[in-house]
Amino acid sequence: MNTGQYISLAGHAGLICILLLGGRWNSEPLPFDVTSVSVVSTEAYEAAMNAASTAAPSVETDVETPQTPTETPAETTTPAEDTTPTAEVPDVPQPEPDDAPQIDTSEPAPTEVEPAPSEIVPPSENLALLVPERSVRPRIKPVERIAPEPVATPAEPDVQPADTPEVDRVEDAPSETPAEPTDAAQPEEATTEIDPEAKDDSFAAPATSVRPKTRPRRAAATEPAETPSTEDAVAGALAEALGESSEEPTPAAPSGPPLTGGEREGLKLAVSRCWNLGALSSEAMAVTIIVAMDMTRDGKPVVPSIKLLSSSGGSDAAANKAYSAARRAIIRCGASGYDLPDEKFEQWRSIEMKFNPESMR
Amino acid sequence: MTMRIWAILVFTVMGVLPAVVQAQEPLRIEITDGVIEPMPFAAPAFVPEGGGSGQLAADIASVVAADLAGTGLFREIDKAAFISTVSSFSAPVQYADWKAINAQALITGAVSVQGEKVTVKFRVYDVFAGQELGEGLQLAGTRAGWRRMAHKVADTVYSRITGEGGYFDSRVVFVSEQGPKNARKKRLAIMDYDGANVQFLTDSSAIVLAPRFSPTGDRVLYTSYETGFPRIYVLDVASVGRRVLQSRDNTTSFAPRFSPDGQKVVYSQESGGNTDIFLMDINSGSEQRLTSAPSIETSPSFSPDGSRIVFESDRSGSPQLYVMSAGGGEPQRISSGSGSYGTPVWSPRGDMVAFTKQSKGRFHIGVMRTDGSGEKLLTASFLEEGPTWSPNGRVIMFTRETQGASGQSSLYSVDISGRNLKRVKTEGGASDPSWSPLQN
Repeated sequence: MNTGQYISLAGHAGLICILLLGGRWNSEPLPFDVTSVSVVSTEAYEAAMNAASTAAPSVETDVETPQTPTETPAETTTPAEDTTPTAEVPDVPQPEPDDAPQIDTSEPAPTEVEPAPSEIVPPSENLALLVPERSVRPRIKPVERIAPEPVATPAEPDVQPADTPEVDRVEDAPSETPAEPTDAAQPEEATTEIDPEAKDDSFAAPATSVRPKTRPRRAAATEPAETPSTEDAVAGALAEALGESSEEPTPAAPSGPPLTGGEREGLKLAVSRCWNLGALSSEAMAVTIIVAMDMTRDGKPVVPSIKLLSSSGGSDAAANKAYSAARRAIIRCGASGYDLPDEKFEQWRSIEMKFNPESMR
Repeated sequence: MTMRIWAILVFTVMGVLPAVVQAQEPLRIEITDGVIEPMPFAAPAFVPEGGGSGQLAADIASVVAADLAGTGLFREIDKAAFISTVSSFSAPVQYADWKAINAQALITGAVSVQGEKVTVKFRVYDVFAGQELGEGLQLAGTRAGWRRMAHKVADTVYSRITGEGGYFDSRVVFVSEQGPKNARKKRLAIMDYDGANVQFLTDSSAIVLAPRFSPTGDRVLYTSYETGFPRIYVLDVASVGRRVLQSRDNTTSFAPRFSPDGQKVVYSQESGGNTDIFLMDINSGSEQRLTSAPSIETSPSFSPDGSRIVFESDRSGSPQLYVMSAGGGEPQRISSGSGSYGTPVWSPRGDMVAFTKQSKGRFHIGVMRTDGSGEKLLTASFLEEGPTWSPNGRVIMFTRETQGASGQSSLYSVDISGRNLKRVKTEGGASDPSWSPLQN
């Protein structure tokens, strides 16, 4: 499904937020840098001075920076050493133990440096905010947990959407497909939950196949639906956010070229053939309704998804009868699948049909 | 901690927003052309429960199917095409089998008989929806009243499928005509809406005209010439007893109709060569003039709410249709087409007026909205007149007379859409139908 896109967006949005709000989050790490630099800089300065006198070449930048500090060490310490010094400080003392045993003694600095990493741990808490994004990817396996369950169920609802209600009553149907008994067995496990999950799965599969050009790896994005199981509050929030998006029946925006006029007309014509107004009351014939439905890739309407969106021009009772006629038309003529281009499935995965009988009155 | 909350909020919003922003735009199409054709339905013979009910079960199912098919809105599927058989009323429905023969509705039922008592129970199914329409119902009656029970079943089925009330459990009072055109004998008769169970209410000793049912269906107004002059009578359908409505001397009264409350009668009265519309209280006999014009005003008909009256007047030079307040006053002309209009009847639903129109040498039965708009002619022939509405306002019955010396009057019905024009079976000729309300 297109939840991959949602997750992608969520990830990007998260990155954007990090960029936007980075100032807040960086405010804590910065002081650490400053403190460490302030501690190191003096000693490092000396070490650098010593190093400059003895073994200069290790890093040229180190060599150069001390040159300027020699004149104004105190001034330049804080600004210039923000970036490089912290990383270099631990390097500097280690390569020169022989030359400066005193330095070793004075290397409480290194011991201070070690606390620095331990102090860096708090930043790691901040980094934990980012962890979910990175930790999501490793959790590809949870998807495999999810997939097997829905995959089994969707195959049937998609194939026999109209039969699902029958199965309960029509067990004797001789000519009915053998899939019915499986329906009868499955509801025991999760009759109500299987359907929506099945939809998600059915959406997820095509989403990955349609989107490979731009987001080939996003099939794994369905994983986050699993991540809610983690106890981490941040991960939970992420899971909630993603969970909501994955529960929505409407997938992402359609991609690819739109249906041609001929393809649209073909669909209209196909439904029109079964839209029988003959048995409607005159009031119901005055009602215009909009019906929404989801489609399977083989062009069949998902019967449980057919619903009345809105109506105008009559009472609720008349609208219901008009809806019944429209629903009947959709199911009847869609029983063998409407002739719709498979490669444009994203375009007709979800359809809203307006039934306007004005010209039929 | 604050940062954690921030993070939660950010990720929550970011997780939800994309779903909202990127909600898929569905493919939107508009269907404007459908088909108008009868809905196929299956009505297997009702299941007889108990001995002696087999024939009755089959007869009831047959009448139900005939009622529905007779509307033109439904088409019964030949039983030979059935894949499934219904051997038990409580057996689960094999939807797939009924789908396979394109049955869009399925009616099952069972009949049991105990002495003279007959019990009918039935269910209606929407086959393609795979569900029952409404709940099963059970009716109890007598063996003699089995047709009415069948009609009631059909009314329920019709109502559940179409969304409007049925009209099968109703009757029609009409003028039965026997003999050649120049010596025709007429008498009042009453029958089921489908022509069954004909009973005569008067003998043929005097000419009778224009019978009209009361709003409750228990009385009939009609005009008789048994005294040599037209007079208005009120007849009790159950007892066939009658009484004449008093009228002033030297006047001729005709074209009566009940008010919606059944307490008053609006009619035409000719006096001194001028015809106007009057209103009479049935109990007190008090009379009220509603029009006062030198032209001919006749064929008054109340609106269902009793607030207005539509009638025919030639005050403009040719017969046209007018609407006035129930208390009289300046009428408003509603007919505007070429030709002449007459015999207007207000629809039970209140939204339409049926009429007879004569234009270019032919007669038509038509309907228009109560403001005169939307005129639609439903039929055309050499001579036809006197429309009457079915209780649900969906069907119009009228008289059609064939041309020539041997021409005969017959009753016809037509859907207000203009479809399903058909003759109502009667023995001999028939004219001036008046449709009753649904029976209780």
